Amino acid sequence: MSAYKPCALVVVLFGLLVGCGRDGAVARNEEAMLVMLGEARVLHKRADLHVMDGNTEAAIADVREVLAIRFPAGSGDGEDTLLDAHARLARLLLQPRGEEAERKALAQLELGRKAATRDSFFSAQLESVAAEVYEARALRLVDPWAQKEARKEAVAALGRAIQIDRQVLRTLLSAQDVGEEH
Amino acid sequence: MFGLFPKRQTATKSGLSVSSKTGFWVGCVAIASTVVGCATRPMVSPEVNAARSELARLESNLVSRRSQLPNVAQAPSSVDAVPAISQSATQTTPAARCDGICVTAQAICGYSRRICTLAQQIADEPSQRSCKNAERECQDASNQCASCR
Repeated sequence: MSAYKPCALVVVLFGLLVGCGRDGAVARNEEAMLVMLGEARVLHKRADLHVMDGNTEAAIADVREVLAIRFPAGSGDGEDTLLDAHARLARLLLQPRGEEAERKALAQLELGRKAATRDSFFSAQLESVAAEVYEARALRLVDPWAQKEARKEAVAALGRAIQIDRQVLRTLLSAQDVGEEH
Repeated sequence: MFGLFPKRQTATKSGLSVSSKTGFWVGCVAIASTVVGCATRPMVSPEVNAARSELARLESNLVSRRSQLPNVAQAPSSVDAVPAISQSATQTTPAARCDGICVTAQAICGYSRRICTLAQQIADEPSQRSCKNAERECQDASNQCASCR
């Protein structure tokens, strides 16, 4: 019987070690996530400074660096960060104004839409920026009919933003109801 | 690596039974110390430490530069600038969820105001209808925020 005691001890220690290894892996993943989010924050701050210096190109490069961060697949915060960066990059690309700037901004927003896997405040934000692009187009155009069409596009984009946010609200409210039930 | 396992483990055949028992207990102690060490502090790779140092360096650079800038540096780029609301932030506590609901309601009302401004410029029936619908959405969302508080 006593011969089995060390074996039992080994089994217990092994179990603890495996469990601990899993906890360690979770802790490392969380830490890696925090580092990535921190990196994105610093890059946005650097972009702020470049914008204030009037260096839009450098700010664009900073935000592109945010988009290059490889967040773990399925990470909600990672997706939010990337969508936020897509929206900001689209705004920066729009800054020079003109048809080409609008085209680039809309293309960037389209990339953001493709990256979105769920309705979120940040996917609504993409539509809000799309409306900004159409409003910029309306200001650029001189033909009243074309201006009107661009503004209608802006209204449609804002309508989409509201629909997304309404869905976000529903999700938040249902989560609250579940929380209150328990 | 240095002296972790006793040299007796590689000794003669006659000493093997003793050394294997000793080795077994040394192994147990090693595992136990790993467990204890692991429980107290998660393993951090050198890359993470390097990234953390780099981040701290960048942050301190930014803070020093930020202090030299006017207050406008802290202001959001637009009235609809992205607030600090994310999936994890809104799904943790009831208070955080409530904040999420109110921030989202605020965003809906902001979009609604923009739709109505555009509708005035477009000045046609469908746009006026969009404005009315958006105002209703804003009202509903505001009520949900108010009832959450």
